[in-house]
Amino acid sequence: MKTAGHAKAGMSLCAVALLALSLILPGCKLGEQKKSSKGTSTSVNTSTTSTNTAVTTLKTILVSWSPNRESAVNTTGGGYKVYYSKTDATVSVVTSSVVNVPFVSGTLSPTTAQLTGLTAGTYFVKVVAFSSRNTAGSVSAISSLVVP
Amino acid sequence: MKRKKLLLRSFIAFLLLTGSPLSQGAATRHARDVLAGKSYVEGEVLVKLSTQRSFAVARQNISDRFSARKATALNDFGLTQVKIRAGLSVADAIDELRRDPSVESVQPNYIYKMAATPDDTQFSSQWGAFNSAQAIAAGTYSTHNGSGSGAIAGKDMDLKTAWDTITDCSSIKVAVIDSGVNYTQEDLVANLWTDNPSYPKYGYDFVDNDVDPMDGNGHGTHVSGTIGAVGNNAKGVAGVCWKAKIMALKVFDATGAGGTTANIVRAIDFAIGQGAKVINMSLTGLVFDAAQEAAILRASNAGIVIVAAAGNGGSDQIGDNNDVTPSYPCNSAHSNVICVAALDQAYDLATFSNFGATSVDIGAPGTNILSAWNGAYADIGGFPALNAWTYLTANWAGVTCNLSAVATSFLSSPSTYCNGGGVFTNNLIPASIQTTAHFNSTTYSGYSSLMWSFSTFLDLDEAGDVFAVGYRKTDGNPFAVGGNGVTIDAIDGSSGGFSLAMSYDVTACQGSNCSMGVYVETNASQGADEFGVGIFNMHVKALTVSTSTYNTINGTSMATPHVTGLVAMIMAHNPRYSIADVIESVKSGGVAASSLSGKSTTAKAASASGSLNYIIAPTGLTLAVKP
Repeated sequence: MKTAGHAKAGMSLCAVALLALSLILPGCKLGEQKKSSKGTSTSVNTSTTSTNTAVTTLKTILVSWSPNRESAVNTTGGGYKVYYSKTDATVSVVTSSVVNVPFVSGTLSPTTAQLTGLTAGTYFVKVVAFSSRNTAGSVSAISSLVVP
Repeated sequence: MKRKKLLLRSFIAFLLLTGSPLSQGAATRHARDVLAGKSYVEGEVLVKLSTQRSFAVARQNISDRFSARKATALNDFGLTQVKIRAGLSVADAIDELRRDPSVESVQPNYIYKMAATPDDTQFSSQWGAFNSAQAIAAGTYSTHNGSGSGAIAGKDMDLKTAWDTITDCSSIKVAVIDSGVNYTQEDLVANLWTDNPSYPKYGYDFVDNDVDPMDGNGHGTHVSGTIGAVGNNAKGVAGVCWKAKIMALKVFDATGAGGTTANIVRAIDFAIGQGAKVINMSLTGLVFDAAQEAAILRASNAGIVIVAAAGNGGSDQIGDNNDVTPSYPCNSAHSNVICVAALDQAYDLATFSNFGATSVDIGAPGTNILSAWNGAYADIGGFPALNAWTYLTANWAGVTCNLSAVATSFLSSPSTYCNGGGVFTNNLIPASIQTTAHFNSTTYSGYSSLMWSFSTFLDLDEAGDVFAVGYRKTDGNPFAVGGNGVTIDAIDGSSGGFSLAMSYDVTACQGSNCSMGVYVETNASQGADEFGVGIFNMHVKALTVSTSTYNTINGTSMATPHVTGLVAMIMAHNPRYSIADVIESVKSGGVAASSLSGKSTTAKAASASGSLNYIIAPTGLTLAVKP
């Protein structure tokens, strides 16, 4: 029996199987990234009663949007915030998770973000464009995606 | 207790980290990237010392290891001013210091400036830019003029805030289709369109078809000053844009006439051809004009925003509903047109301002507006007395008419039109006459604008009778067949017992002999109330162009350029913006104005700071599960 403790040790069931047996177990993919259970991408659970092994992979949503055309959004102090929630279809900026995407350099602020460590379910996402003089910014329409 | 202290320290650290892009926690960016375009003191940085050791020790550490010239405590919380060693840039010093474990955060010593208040000598009278409820001494619109009559401080374009962001709109060419521009005016001379050497006077005169659009009226100069009078030059007024590029396109003559479809359409096409991005049209017409609409569409396709006046009511000077009585180009169907109503100093709708729930977009300051002007007119004479004209004696006579008990020289047709007592009903004008009266003036020369004016009483048939006014550039009858005269007006009907003030731009009648005259024609079936024509109080005036004249006037024409300047500002600040973006920014960035509720599409007044800070909602959001 494999437990989450093995993953903490730095190598998952998938990796062990792939390295030792050259077999692909259910739920394992070649090239799949592995991290500890405190990481952001993968945790492993297995059944205790059968030979079938269930692997729950934490997923990542790739978010992209069109660049705003305001200079203030695309300069120091400006940028975007990506809010997301699995439970709140309104994606409250108070209670939802957020990924900051500030201006870094060049002519435009980044227009992509990754929402990591996600479990299966429907996620609601919105993007806020902000500037140093308008920190509340302006909010996109809400989009949703089912993570399998 | 110990845990509480740790939490407090963590909280303080969080504030510093999130408040400073140059903190250790965000050390992946080189300071050079962050400092680009910022103003800061060279040769020094500000350091927030870590609380892990005494500040005194930390400061000594920095001085020793960093070889700083000096590290001075600024407060008791570890903020320290570090004079950096010679030869080290601020950016490199920041990168070096943020790797120091005794440093919690480091930043430049930024340079601040006062909120932008220009030093223009008459700025205090520009309530549209900054409304302190000041009384406008030269203002003729008495409602809400100053705090004593209900003006409300803060009801303004908030330009002082906006000027902290941008004052230079010179990357955007602004076409002003109006009466021309006084291109010698001290507040405008530096802000005119100079891109094309074929137009050395900064635009074109579509009235006289030449390259000299000097403003004979003042209206176009006033509008241009609101858009782009040079700011902070210790003179006159400050425009919405302190630096601008104004293209003078003259379609109105000195009297405000001449604004024909042909001239306006040619002006729009000129603006398109010369790369204008905004057109100010402080003008109105009461009929749908297909040719103008087509020109507006061409402008839209060229990426041009047109800002139009809502209009100033009818002859009663009470604002009308443009939804009921359309006014063009305000009511244009094209989406690149913003229509502007006039607000007073309390942001009430000005009494003269037109409005329209579906046709007028936004309000802006339009009463007691101070701006640049063209100069002043003065009599120059050069013509004979009214009783010394050349005329057919059977139909014209120079008489003395007793007007309001004042003996007045009066040119009369027929000679009995005035009976000497100021009564104009003694005798009917003969039927079927065609008669002229004219004078040969002295030669006028060198005037930038020449105006011929007089007052007239009129009692003619509306069907078939006519009273015409004209001139020609040689001596003799201006109405002679083949005489190359110019008929500049033709009217009929009755003045209703009142005198009409007539005014004509005769600037073109210079450089050679100039004859000016009037003409009366009657039909064959005179009615019982067609008595004739009389003129009096005649002047020929020349404009003395001034470099330093200003004027305070009212109108939606004055509100419109506030928005035009704002459009230029938005475009200059956000060069990636489309027309739709600009218009959304103007409308959505405005502030609520209850007086426009139900009388405009936005119920808002234009706000420069609001529009500059406005951010359009992000679009094109796509989501995908990472494979």
